[in-house]
Amino acid sequence: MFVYSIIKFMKKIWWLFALVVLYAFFAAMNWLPTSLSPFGGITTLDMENTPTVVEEIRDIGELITAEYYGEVYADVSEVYLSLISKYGDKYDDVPDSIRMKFPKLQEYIIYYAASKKRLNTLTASKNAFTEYNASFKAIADKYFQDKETYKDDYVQLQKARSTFLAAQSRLSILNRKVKENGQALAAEQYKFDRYKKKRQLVYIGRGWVKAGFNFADIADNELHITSKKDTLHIVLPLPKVLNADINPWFIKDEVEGFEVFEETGSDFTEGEAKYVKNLCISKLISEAKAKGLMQKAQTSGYETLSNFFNLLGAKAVTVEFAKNNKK
Amino acid sequence: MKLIGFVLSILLLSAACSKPPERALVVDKLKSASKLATVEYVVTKMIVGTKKKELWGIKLSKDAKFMAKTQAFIKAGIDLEKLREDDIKIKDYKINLLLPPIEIINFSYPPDAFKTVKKYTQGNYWNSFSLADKDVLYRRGESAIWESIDKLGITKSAETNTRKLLIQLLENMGFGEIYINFRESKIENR
Repeated sequence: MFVYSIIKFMKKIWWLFALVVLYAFFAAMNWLPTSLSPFGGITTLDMENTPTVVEEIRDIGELITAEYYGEVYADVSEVYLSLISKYGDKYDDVPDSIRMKFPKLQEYIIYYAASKKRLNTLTASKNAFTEYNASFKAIADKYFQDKETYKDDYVQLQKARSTFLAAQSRLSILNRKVKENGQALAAEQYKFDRYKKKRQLVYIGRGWVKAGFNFADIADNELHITSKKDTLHIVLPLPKVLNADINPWFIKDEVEGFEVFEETGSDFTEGEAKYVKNLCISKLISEAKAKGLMQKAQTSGYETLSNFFNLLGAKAVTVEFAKNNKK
Repeated sequence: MKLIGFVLSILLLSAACSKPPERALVVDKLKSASKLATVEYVVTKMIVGTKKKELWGIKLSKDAKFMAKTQAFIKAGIDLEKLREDDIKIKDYKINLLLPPIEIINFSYPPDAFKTVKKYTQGNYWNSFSLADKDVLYRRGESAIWESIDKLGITKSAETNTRKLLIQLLENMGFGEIYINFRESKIENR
């Protein structure tokens, strides 16, 4: 009797057992997010202790006079778009080396080209509508004028009317075409967006750009230091970007440099990931320049050198920047 | 139904408790600097990783392996902002300089310098290295390089090069007797 009531009870809550079994299966396969998994530590990532080997030691002479720290992001779609703008939207024109690194480029180009074609059709139909709309206004004005002029001439009035109606009908057809092409473009863009969302890789990058002067790049005749007793005159080239880095760590053990923000689809190649990361670095450089890094490097360079040579005993220091950067 | 609600709320709560990335710490900042870098070290580090999937000691899948050869570029030198007036003593043609300690001016571990060794990199449908996993290994690699910086001899090289550069400059300025010393440096492990 007791066993029977247990079985009856279990039959009642069979779905709970099914849920538990399903949850255990997903957890065991490690398909659950870490926060939902009871076996969070099931996957372990070990790294061997390998030596750090010095490969090369270079003598350099760089004076960093301005630094920019910032955060940027880039996605794989932007990389594909930059490749299309470089090689065009015909897959046959893309070099083999790029095709190997970007196996989905052909697919991307198909969606891109279809979307672009729809956009071109829409633009053409909009232009045709705008153009005809201008002449339609003249036809309508003439019709209203003719209505007054041929008030008593039925034949002429009908002629004017039919011309006006034909023009009105043509305008309405053109307008309908604009609407249809707009809808077709929206549908194509929706397909393209859905494709992009199915395979998306977004990196957030945090790093720095440092600018200043590289003395090694300056030829002897380009760096002028004219010392006349206590007076020093220095001529320097314009500052340039010396370092632009987004490292694995931005601040060790605290803030990641590169962070995968989204990885949908697991078939990304190393080349794709590298291009997205490099795009982050390019964006960081552009951002630093837009925020005034080079100007800061120049003014700060002037102050640094003046202060330094003043400390070394020079009473008057003048720093001049060459107008043209030869390097 | 109450039970389902309870289970779901536990699951949702545990998901909500996951730690968000600390983005607030990142600053958008432009600042002046006066750092003189005189030596650059190019170092290589092999990244060798294994990803295991186990449950109570039982392997759920074959281990995935990852190997990459990576390079870091480390620049060292001095921060001229730390040079004080009383660090410089001038008497006629004789100059005595006590320079700030050698420090790492720039550390670069760029993605372009990570080359996967495909021959020794393997995974399967159930267990393979994702991009995020590889980034975890690169972060550990960076930390390991920082740990070993002190032993690479970068301080000595930077001191020698800085001395060389400044002697040349000071001779051009007319000093005949030049003495250069450095404050004791301790490379900070960021």
